[in-house]
Amino acid sequence: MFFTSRQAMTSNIAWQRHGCYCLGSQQYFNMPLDKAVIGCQDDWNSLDHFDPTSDTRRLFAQFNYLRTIYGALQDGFDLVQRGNWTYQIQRPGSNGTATEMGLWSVSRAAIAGVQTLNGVFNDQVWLLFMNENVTQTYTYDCKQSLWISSPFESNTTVQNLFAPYETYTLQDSLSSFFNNSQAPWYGCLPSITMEPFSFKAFVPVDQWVPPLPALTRYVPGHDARIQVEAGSANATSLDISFEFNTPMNCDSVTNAMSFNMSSSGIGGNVTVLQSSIVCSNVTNPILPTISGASFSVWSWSATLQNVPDGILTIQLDNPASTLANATTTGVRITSTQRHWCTHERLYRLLTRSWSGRVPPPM
Amino acid sequence: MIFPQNDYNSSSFGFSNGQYTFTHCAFGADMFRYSWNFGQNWTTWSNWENVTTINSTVFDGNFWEGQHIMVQCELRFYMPSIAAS
Repeated sequence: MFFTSRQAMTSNIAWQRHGCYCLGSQQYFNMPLDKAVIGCQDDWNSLDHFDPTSDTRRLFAQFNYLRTIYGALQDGFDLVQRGNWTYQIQRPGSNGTATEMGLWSVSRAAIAGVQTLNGVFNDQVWLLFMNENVTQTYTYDCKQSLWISSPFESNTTVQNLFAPYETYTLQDSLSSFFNNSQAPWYGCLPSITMEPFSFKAFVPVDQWVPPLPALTRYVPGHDARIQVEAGSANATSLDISFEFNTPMNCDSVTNAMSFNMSSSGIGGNVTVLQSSIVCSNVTNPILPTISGASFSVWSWSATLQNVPDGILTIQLDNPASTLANATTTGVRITSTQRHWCTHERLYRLLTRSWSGRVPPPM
Repeated sequence: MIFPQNDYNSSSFGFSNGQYTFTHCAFGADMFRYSWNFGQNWTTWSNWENVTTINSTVFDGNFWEGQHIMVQCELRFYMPSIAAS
């Protein structure tokens, strides 16, 4: 892998053949090159990288989706630091420049009387973020000066907009919400555990919107290359599975699936063995390595038949989640004020499974 | 090519009855072309075929001994219509 430029997004072996990076860095002190110096030994680097199940892709899709729902996240200019639980360190090689470490509490909203926000909700959103590389639990007495301050009233139940979507109920502080020395009080978080480099965004639970359905995993994997021997019993069948971050309608996923097989005119049409379809909940998902990304809760798996040698593209066109009625468009508001949004456009992306097969040597 | 590290294959290139043959195994390709002189000249792109027959006279101008061909394949990926709608 190159040090100063990026690798190809499409499948390309040139970068891998170029060799591993073997210099250091004059600009950065103790640059942790790690993967860069062994990149040419990692075959993943020469595969296609447009992976629709990528954790970072899914997380950025969630960022963008939240901006459409919460006007404060899209346009809010009123950024208020509610508190910080931080300290300064000196990193080696930084020549006296200090780095601030710890936890921050920030709220974001429109400037009242100046801004008019769009989106489904226009209220403030509360953000917590931490830059320690270890899990930290912050516990402070709500009646003491270091109390973890929220922008909401006490007794509000807030819910995280990012996975795992956990809820907290805020407790009384000694800070008056209307600045008149009496109740209601500002909400206080008595304790919070933050994962390494994690962030959370809270809204009151009645303004919480579930994430759009998204693919979290595909087996055998995006751009997987599979070798089978001609004549073997399973030479033309392939087991696949898709995992999602929300429960899905099993039949809808099956019906949404189509195949495009590039096989140079050799072989038959790929079909799903209907009796092999299994839909189930994922109880032990692979957790993403980045903060806030959603993980698998539901899976669809089956066996494909008549898979010839060549390149297989699998497309999922708008399968329905069981969370919402997928055929409605726009935002549907139920009587309980839970806001469910359609995911009509979500699956307009390709899931490419490059199933390659080579014959035995002649 | 599914496994691009395995891109050298002497067994694909054969000779019988005064003609050379190349047996393709990059399944999935739509077009191919080949060069008989290490990339100086290429044929025009042709539709995929299982076996390509190459007349031995195409190698006549080469000053070296032995024959070698380089084959390039092209996959035409069509964006599904759903992407454009």
